[in-house]
Order: sequence, then structure tokens, then C-alpha cells
Amino acid sequence: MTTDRCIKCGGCEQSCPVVCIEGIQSFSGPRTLAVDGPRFSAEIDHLRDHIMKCTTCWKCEEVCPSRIDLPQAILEIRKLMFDPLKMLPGHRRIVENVDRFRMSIEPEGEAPPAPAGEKGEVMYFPGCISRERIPSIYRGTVSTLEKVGADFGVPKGWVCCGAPLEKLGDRDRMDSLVEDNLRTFDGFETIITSCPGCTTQLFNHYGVEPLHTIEYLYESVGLNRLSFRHAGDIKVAFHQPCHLSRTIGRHSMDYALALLQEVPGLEVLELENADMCCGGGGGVVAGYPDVALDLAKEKMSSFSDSGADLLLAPCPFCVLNLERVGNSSVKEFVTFLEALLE
Amino acid sequence: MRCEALVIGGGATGAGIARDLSMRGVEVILLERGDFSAGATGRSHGMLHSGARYAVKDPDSARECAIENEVLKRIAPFCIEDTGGIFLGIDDSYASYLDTFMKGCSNTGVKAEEITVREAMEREPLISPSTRVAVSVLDAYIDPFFLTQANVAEARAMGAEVRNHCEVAGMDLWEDTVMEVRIRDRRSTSLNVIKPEMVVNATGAWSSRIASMAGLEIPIRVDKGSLVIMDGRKVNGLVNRLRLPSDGDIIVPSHSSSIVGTTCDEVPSPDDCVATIDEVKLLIHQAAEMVPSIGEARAVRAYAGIRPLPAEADEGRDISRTFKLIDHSQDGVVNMVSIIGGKLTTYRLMAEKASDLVIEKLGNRGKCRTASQEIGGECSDHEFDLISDLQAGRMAAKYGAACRDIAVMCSRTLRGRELLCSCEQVLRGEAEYFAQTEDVLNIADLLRRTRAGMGYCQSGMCVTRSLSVLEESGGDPLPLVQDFLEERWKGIQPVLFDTQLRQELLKVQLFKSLSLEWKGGEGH
Ligand SMILES: Cc1cc2nc3c(=O)[nH]c(=O)nc-3n(C[C@H](O)[C@H](O)[C@H](O)COP(=O)(O)OP(=O)(O)OC[C@H]3O[C@@H](n4cnc5c(N)ncnc54)[C@H](O)[C@@H]3O)c2cc1C
Ligand code: SF4
Ligand code: SF4
Repeated sequence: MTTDRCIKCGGCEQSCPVVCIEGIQSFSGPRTLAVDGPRFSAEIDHLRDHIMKCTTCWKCEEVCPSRIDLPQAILEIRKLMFDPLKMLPGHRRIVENVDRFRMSIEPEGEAPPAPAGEKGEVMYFPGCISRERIPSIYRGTVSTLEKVGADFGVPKGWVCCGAPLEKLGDRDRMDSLVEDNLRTFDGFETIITSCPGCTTQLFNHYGVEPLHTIEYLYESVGLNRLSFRHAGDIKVAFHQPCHLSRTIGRHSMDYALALLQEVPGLEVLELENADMCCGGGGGVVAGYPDVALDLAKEKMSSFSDSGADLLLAPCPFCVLNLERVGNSSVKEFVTFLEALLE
Repeated sequence: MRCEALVIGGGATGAGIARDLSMRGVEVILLERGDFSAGATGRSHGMLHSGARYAVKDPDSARECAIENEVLKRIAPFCIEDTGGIFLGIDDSYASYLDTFMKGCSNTGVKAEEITVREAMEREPLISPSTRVAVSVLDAYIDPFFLTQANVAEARAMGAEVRNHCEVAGMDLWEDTVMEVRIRDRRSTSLNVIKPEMVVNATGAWSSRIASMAGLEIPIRVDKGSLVIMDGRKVNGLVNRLRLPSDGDIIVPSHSSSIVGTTCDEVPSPDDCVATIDEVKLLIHQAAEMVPSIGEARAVRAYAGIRPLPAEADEGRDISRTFKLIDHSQDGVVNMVSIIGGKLTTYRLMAEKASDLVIEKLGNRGKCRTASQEIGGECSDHEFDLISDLQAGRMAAKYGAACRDIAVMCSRTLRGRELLCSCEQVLRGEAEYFAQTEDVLNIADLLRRTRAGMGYCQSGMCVTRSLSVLEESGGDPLPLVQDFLEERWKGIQPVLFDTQLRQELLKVQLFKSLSLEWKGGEGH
């Protein structure tokens, strides 16, 4: 195992947002969980107290001089440790929702109608949150695709991508979702998603090469100054979602900023610690809502300091968690762009 | 100072004798030149032998090990991990040996059972796919440091006077009797004198030196064995190579690491024995034939120990590993006995036999009870508030009956609960507990008692914290660190490749920031 390469520089702990905000007593941190703890034996039950507090933000891997994939190791341990009888209440709800609705969350009211085609050049995979919890993201993305003239459709009968289950360590259930989804994926050339969690999941477990909407808009559509109307001189700050900036890649951040630069009447202000996790990932919102909220508050306080009017985040999970702080200035990135698209 | 029995040597054997004699009401003084288990005991492989390794070539040792294996599991459960062991036949080299091996085991009362390769894979998922046969045995892991400490603690509880850092420097005889033994205590400058009725020489590889102080001669052969510590547990139980005993045959899971050993070479002196990089590479290469991932794992430290083998006609590995008890009245000194050879596994039996002889000479005081009485009394499972399960579990496995007091010490203050060593999950309170005692004079003493610094960073991070614990109880800090690091360096030098090299470079920088100019040992 590559965790063997740790030289105990402490970098991962110092940069881990959960350690920074919650303290090492509450979350013993990536090195203890992924490197030190498991060395003792196959009996890893003693890690249970803390291991579900990792948001899988992948910051620790980024700073590790030995390039140890600590979050992946943490996910492997979650898999080994998975015990349906010892789940946190929030995690049990996710599993129950998957069993009942094949979605990680309980559908709220009427889901927006699927767009015309069920097959096409581009497949849009909405993901649970965009579709059921913040349908404006779903509508915004569909409308964006229509505006840019894409030939697209939503696969009929798609289910949760399984990413939340991987985070809980429940790989069997995850695999069954993967199987269900793959049956609906036929006949599309390009796959795009709203949620970086879905993008990563599809890439890792479906054998496909999906694009996040931002990648698609930048690489395949080619928007320019003429594509947008004047934004009305507003200032925005840009939050870099972990699973987009680190898991999918830095290039997605460049794309996002490049897209914003094309919008007339828009100023992008510096956001301190823009790439720090908002707390929304890794099943922490469900498992330890207080921890997720602490991290979200930290992010929103950087936002207040930035002096911007809006905080843009290209990830439904981030939006969901940041909104819990009770500040209404958070906007999903693509939805925001869509409103300005001619 | 007078006493009935002076035991020289604080390895497992000496500590075991001190315990045994004290339990029978004898007034005992035990002296150790360095720290307890600093000799062969602490440099052993930590294998509680089932006897199987000796079943073919050394049946007496095999029999002794088979019996003591059961006894120790009963009396020292806290420091034993009863993991079981397997012997693996790799490729075709085992073919003719398997029968001989099984016969040897059954002749010596060693329990051994052939299992399918499939079963072996289930127990040890990382073993080589070229495994052809597997035999299950009762090997276990035993921690030599905690075993010795527990014997010392109990001897003290029964009234024995036990001192480490206290060297026997000479003896004065009157005719056929040792009258006075001169000792040099590191804590004071003056030379002290002890007047013992009986002297027990349990100094292992150094026993001929002690004997010569009384004008006696013990022919022993000093044999070096090297081992290498690999990070992480690659095996669940002990993994042995099924073949005639040779180099790199055994992998032992030890706390958070796997120890690969051993080699076997005669050396001129028992002092200053270190492992070499060639030995390390040989050991890793051999062990990787059984468990391939050992080949990619990280070697964090190497060490070597000296086997004191009673010198007979045979050579090296062929010399019997059973022990020898010498009553020196046959050579003209009536009140001295020496006990040499043996195994860690048979230390209790050796202690029993030596104690029996001492008792015989002092006048009867009753029978040996060490085979039935658990060391330190029973160690019940404690629930420690404020301390994580992982840490509480680690403490119970290290300190046995003493873990309650130590956990209390940790819980008392916020500082006590701080992590001192994260590799081994040692809390500051554990170190504070030992730092208060008279036994601890330096950093190594502290680390030996707590396992701090035994993990993969090899005390890069905990050394300064340990120092601050020691500082609180007085003492000049800098020379202590320097000494410690230089000693450590001997074990790190042979593994300076791959990740451990990067680790050491980081440490050099780190120590620099603490104004500690450390470039390894001399010449680096
Ligand atoms: C490499 C190696 C691996 C081994 N592996 C195993 C194993 O896996 N299982 C097993 O059962 N056995 C093993 N053994 C054997 C086992 O370690 C020894 O048989 C056992 O530890 C001997 O203990 P002891 O107390 O007799 O000797 P030691 O532990 O050597 O104790 C002698 C003590 O006497 C002290 N001393 C010396 N001179 C003086 C003096 N002048 N004054 C005061 N004190 C003095 C020394 O400092 C030393 O601490 C191994 C041995 C070696 C070398
Ligand atoms: S992935 Fe993020 S939250 Fe998890 S341990 Fe690493 S830095 Fe901390
Ligand atoms: S950053 Fe990497 S090398 Fe440094 S302590 Fe963490 S895991 Fe170890």
C-alpha cells in the first residue's frame, strides 16, 4: 500500500479543513486515519469515531509530498468497516432512500419534466440533488443546453450514480446502482453532468469519460462575449468545489474563470481560501451536519470578507450545504450563466 | 549491602529469576548494566516458538518450546498476541522436507497440522501464489520488553531490589566463595559493594566476562542475528519458511510492523553489533519469496542481537538452542551459578531451573509457582473515559496489570492525553508515568517502556516531546538527544534507501530547526 510512503511531515493534517475547523480531538485527521491507524491490524474498528467526518475534499492528497492518496485510502477503510448496524442515522436515511426510490434523497414533489429526446448526441445526467432538491439547477442546465443548441437527452430511468454510497462504504448497493444506470446509457456520445460528484463517480465506476457542464461549455460550445448579456455590474466570488478542482482537475477552474470573463458587466473578486472545502462532501452533511455547517460558515465568512454580491459554486452539493448557513447569495454556476445567456 | 541472591543481567532470564526467587521469599538484588531487555532479549524476534522450527534438528529445544508456549500464553497473556503461525513450502524446495518436518513435530510433541493452500491464503492473503504446502502451528508474538518489565515489576512488588544502569564491575573472592561484588551505578560516581550469599550470572552473551571476574571460564560462541523492521502488518500471524532453518525464514507481526529475520554469523565480541545493508537486502529478498509485498514495503530500521550459544562441537545454526545451567562449585566457586543459551520462549523454564539450584543451596523455601501464576495478576479489560479505544487497547497490551494506573495518569490532565507518538499511538501521560521512576535516565529508556519512537518515522517527531517530559523531571536535554540519535542511527543506516531515506532527510531539516546539528552518526 502506498500509505507506507508517509514521512510524517504533517502537511496533510495542517491543510485538512476538518482538522483546522473542528480540531484534532474531534477529527484525528488524514494521517492517523489512513496511515497510522490501519497499521496496527486488520481490526480497524477503532477508527469508526472519526472516519466518517472526512469530506473527501482531496486537499490532503494535494499537499502530500509523497503523493499518498489518503482520501482513497479512507474510502477503502470505510468499505472494510461498513456495517449496516452501525450506520449513523443520516447515512441510514440515504441507504433507505436508495432502496425505496433509487435516489439518495427522498424526491420532493413533482420532478420537472424530462426534455424532449431520450437519446441524442449528448446525454445529460442530472444527479439526485439537481433533480430533486434544487431543481433550478436541472432546469438551468437543460435551458443552457437548449440555448447552445445541443442535441441532448436525459436517459430514461436513470438512478442515483452511487457516489454517496461509495462514501459510506456500501459498495454492494453502489454496484447495483451502477448496473441499473449503465442499462440506460446506450445511444449517447457525450455524457455531461451537473455534479462533480457524479462526474467522478461515472469516470471511476462506469468506464465512461463524462464531462462536467463547465468542461462541456468551454471545450465543445465555445462561448464568447457575444453569447452573454450585460450582467448589470455585479461582483461575484468563485468557490472552487473540491471534486471539481482537485478530482476532475485544475483545468476546470481555468475554464470556469474564462467563462466568467466573457460576461460583460461582471467582476470576479478574490475569495480567500477559494479551494477550501465547504463541508458538503463525503457524506458529512448527512452524518455530521454540525461539522458540515461549521465548514460552510467558514466559507461564507470568507465570502462576506470578499465584498462580492454573489458566491458562485459549480456543484449542487456545495450550494446545498452553503445555503444551510442561511445566506441567500449562493448561486449555482451554470444556472447563473444561463440567466445571462442570450 | 547484603542479600541472599544477587542476579546479574536484566534480560528476560534475569528478570524471570528475580521474580521466581522473590515469589519464594528469597531476598533478591537484580542488577542490569544498561536498561532491562537491552541485550539479546530486546533484540530478539519476538517469537513465542511453537517448537516447530527446532523439531527436526534440535528436538530438545522443540520439546521445551512446545511446553513453555502453552505456559506463557497462560501467565503472560497481555503481552502475547496469540496469532498462530504457518510454515509455507514455496515451489519445490519443500518436497522432501515436509515429511521429515511433520515427523519431527509429532516426535517432539509440537502441534502441527497440514492445511490447504486455500486455507493458508484465507489466513494470510498476501502470501506468495507459488505456495505449495502449508502447515499450521501454534507460534505467537510475544513482546520481549513488556514481558521483562512485567517480571521486574512483580519481583519488586515481592520485595526484590532491582536496578538498571548498574554494572557489575568486579568480584572479590575468599577461597572458594564470592564475598563481595563491586558495582558501578550510573546514578552515582562511587563504587558500591554487595555481599551476596549466592550469585546468579544471567548475562547471556556476556556471561563469560562475569565468570572471569570469579576466575572462571565459560566457553560460549557469540552469534549475531540481524533483523529488519518493515512498516505495517503484512501478515496476520507468524509466517515461516518450510525448509531447514536458514536466513530470512520468518516474518513476525509486531505491533504496527512486521519483523523479518534472521541471519546467523559468528562475531568476535557481543558489544556493538549492528546489522548491515547487505543483510537487510538479503532478508527482504528472502522474505519476499514468502510474502511478495514485503519486497515493496518500507524498511524502517534494522537491528542485530547476539545469541549466546553454549559452545560445543557444532557450528552456527546446528548448535542446540536449549539452555545450559552451570553450578560453578564443580570448578571451584561454591556460590555462583550461570545460566546461558535458551530462548526467550523458554526464559521461565530457565529461571525455574536456575532458581531451584539457588534454593537448593540456600536451603529449601518451597516450590516454583511461576508456571501457574499470571504475571502481575489478572489484567481485566478496563474502560477508560477520555482515551480512545485504540489507545486504551494499546495500553492494555503493553502494560498488563499496570495499565490502569498509567491510564489514570493520562486522563488526569489535558497534556497527559496529548499524543506523544502518533506512529504508535502513545500518549504523553504514559511517558510522564515512567519519567517519574528511578529507572528512566534517558530518552531510550522512556521509549523502550512506551514504544514511542518505534514507528516508521523512527522518533523524528516524538523525540523532542519525550525530551520535554524528561526535562520536567530534571536533566540536561541536548546531550540526551544527541546520544539517543546517534544510537538510533546505527539501526537506520542499513535501511537508508527509498522512503526511509526521504524520512531521514526530513528529520535532518527538522532537527536543524531545533538547532540540533544532526547528520547521523560519525562520518555522515
Ligand atoms: C537475533 C535474535 C533473535 C532471537 N529471536 C528469538 C525469538 O524469536 N524467540 C525466542 O524465543 N528467542 C529468540 N532469541 C533468543 C533470545 O533472545 C535469548 O535467548 C534471550 O533473550 C536471552 O535472554 P537473557 O536474559 O538470557 O540474555 P540477555 O537478554 O542478553 O540479557 C543479558 C543482560 O545482561 C546484561 N549484562 C551484561 N554484562 C553485565 C554486567 N557486567 N553487569 C550487569 N549486567 C550485565 C546485559 O546488558 C543484558 O541485558 C533470539 C536471539 C537473537 C540474538
Ligand atoms: S480528504 Fe479533506 S477532509 Fe478528508 S482527510 Fe483529506 S483533507 Fe481532510
Ligand atoms: S502529507 Fe503525506 S507524508 Fe506528510 S504526514 Fe501526511 S501522509 Fe504523511
